[in-house]
Amino acid sequence: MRIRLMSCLAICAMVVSLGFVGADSLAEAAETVKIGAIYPLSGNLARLGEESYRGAELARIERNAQGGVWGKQVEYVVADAPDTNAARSEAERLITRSNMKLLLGTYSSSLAYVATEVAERNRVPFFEFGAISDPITERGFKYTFRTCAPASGFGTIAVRVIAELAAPKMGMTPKDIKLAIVYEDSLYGTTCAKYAKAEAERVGMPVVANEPYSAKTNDLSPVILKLKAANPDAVIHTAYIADAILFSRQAKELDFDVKAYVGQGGGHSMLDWAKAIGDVSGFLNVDFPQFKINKAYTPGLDEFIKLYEDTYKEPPHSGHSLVNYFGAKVMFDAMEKAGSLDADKIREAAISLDVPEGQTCTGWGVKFDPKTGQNVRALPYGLMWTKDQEQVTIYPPEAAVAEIIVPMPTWRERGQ
Amino acid sequence: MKRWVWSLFILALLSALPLVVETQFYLHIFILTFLYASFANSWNLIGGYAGQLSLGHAAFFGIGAYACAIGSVKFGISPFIGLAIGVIIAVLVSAAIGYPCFRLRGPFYTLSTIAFAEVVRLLTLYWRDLTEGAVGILIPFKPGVANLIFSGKVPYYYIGLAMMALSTFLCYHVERSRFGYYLVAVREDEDAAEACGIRSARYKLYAAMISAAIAAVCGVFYVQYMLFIDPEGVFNLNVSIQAALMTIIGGAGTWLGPVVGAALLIPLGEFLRGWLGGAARGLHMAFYGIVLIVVVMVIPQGIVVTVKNLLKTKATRKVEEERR
Repeated sequence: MRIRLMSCLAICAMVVSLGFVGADSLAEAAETVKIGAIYPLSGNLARLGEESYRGAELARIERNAQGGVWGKQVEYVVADAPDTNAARSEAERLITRSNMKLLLGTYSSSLAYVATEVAERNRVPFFEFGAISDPITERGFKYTFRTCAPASGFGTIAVRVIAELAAPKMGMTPKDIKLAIVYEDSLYGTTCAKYAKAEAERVGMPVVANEPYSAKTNDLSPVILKLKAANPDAVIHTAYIADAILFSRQAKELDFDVKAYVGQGGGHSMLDWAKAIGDVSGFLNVDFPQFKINKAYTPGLDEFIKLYEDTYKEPPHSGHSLVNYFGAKVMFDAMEKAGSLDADKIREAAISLDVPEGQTCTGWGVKFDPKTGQNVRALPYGLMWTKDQEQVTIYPPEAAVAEIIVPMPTWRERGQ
Repeated sequence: MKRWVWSLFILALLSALPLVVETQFYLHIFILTFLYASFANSWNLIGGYAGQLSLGHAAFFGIGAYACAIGSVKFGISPFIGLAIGVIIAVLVSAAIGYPCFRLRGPFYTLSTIAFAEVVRLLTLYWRDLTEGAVGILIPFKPGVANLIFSGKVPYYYIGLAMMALSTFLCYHVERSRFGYYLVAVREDEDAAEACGIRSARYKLYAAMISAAIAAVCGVFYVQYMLFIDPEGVFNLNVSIQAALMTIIGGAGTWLGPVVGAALLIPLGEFLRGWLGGAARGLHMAFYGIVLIVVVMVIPQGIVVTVKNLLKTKATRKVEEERR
């Protein structure tokens, strides 16, 4: 009993001492500008949360090497928010205990909802770099700014890729193409699907199936069989990684082929998905800018990739790091212009930023809508997977480096 | 008598706290602790006293929260009426689960509660028109007593404190009532209890219904505080497990147990994440897990019971020494 008690005490002591080590390292370094960074770094969002954080971190490293902001070094106070409750707590903590005057984050939309709400109520500007759900910037918040494309852009671009690139190549009009929309039923899938449907209706493309499913499922064959019965020409699929792999594997087993298959980022942007499927040539996708893009349209992209590889000793996992890098750079520019961390000055500076498309590392421009805080010059890109498991840009035409292949190869043609 | 003095003293201390504490984050942690202590209290009634392990308490919590959120956002009903509706639905639902299950022996109640929480989660995803599905419901920020939304943290603090005090008082009262003794008797030996003339199924059902009502009230408080609700946040199995965990760590079947459990685990979780969250990925959860394992290994009966036993042995020793 005594030994047990001792070991228990020892462990508790270890916990506490480690805790204080963490606290101390935050306390030092006085002449820096501190910004709170909220990302999901543990739990099931951690994978892309970490990738997103790396992007913001690289922008910080680069900025500091160039002299920082107002001649001071920039420092992030990093907080882990694996779920919405944690996002609220961490935003509270960073603002009211660590006295952060500026926050950034978060990659996940539900986390962004909660964190931006706390920030807005405390009059702390919040720069969102990666969460795409539209309502984040539709609540009339004064101090929430989103640098990346919203979800509505994903569904819209997916339909445009089919209507403007795929249809003409097959000698069809958008009205001839039967479209099926499949999506995982959380916030992300639901939003993408909603806007895809709206854009399809706008261009007159008939939607023959609209199928939600839970991303936690381990069998998608009922969904695929329903789709097979609807016999669509094109599929727009919104999925996380596990369900994206599952869907493709089961589609192969059930011989479900379509002329065009468009992912919506998420799982369909992950190399892990491509590796699990094997031959992914001709699969289409819509996402934030990837690395195979017309470099004249995205100056600074190569420098980013080099910086990433030098820092993390591996190539970027996805474009999430790039958009966070872009977002952080925009935020630093706004800070520089504002001259201080005063909320209203930051807001003024952010709104006054004006960069046209095709001049930044993502190809996105910068122009915040003063009413919503949304960057109106950011839209996702149309992409296509190649045989070498790389994503090349196909849309918009100014940024394209390859031409679309339609109809895409069938599962039989792909073989093993 | 002494117990009363202590309880009132602690209550007075907690009431005075917002006057001194100015950092909103600490108030936030207190509010969370009050909320989860009340939620654990509700679990304690059925899981602690009656010994019926529920792993679906998130369902009642979520029903209360959703009833209130849907009522105020979709139909413009006052959250107070939403609260009443939520409580009624939660009680009816818990009766519907309990009625068949409490007649059976074995893990049926536990399994039904898990399954039911999952069903409710799926229904909220499915009834998109009503619940907004996975998108979740954002409650517009319109402060006012009528809306039960406040711009500062202090009103939430006092409401939370009152909620915890009342639910703890209820547990205290139940523990000393005939009803409480019935429940404990059923927990210890259902056959013996039946032989004494206790209608075990009926009393378990009563306990489950009261418990569901409290859980629903907690849900309403949660949604009015967070102003955002999504199925992942309230119907997660983790929410149910947390209620059970805090009670078990604190001491299941004791009136003070859930409060002690919540007062230990909520700040622990929050501070660990604050300290270690940014430093090493997931380390805070590993430490949280270690603490749980150690507590359960060293004091399986929970903190309250162990401390009580320690005090008792000390007292008897003292008596013995005096006798010598």
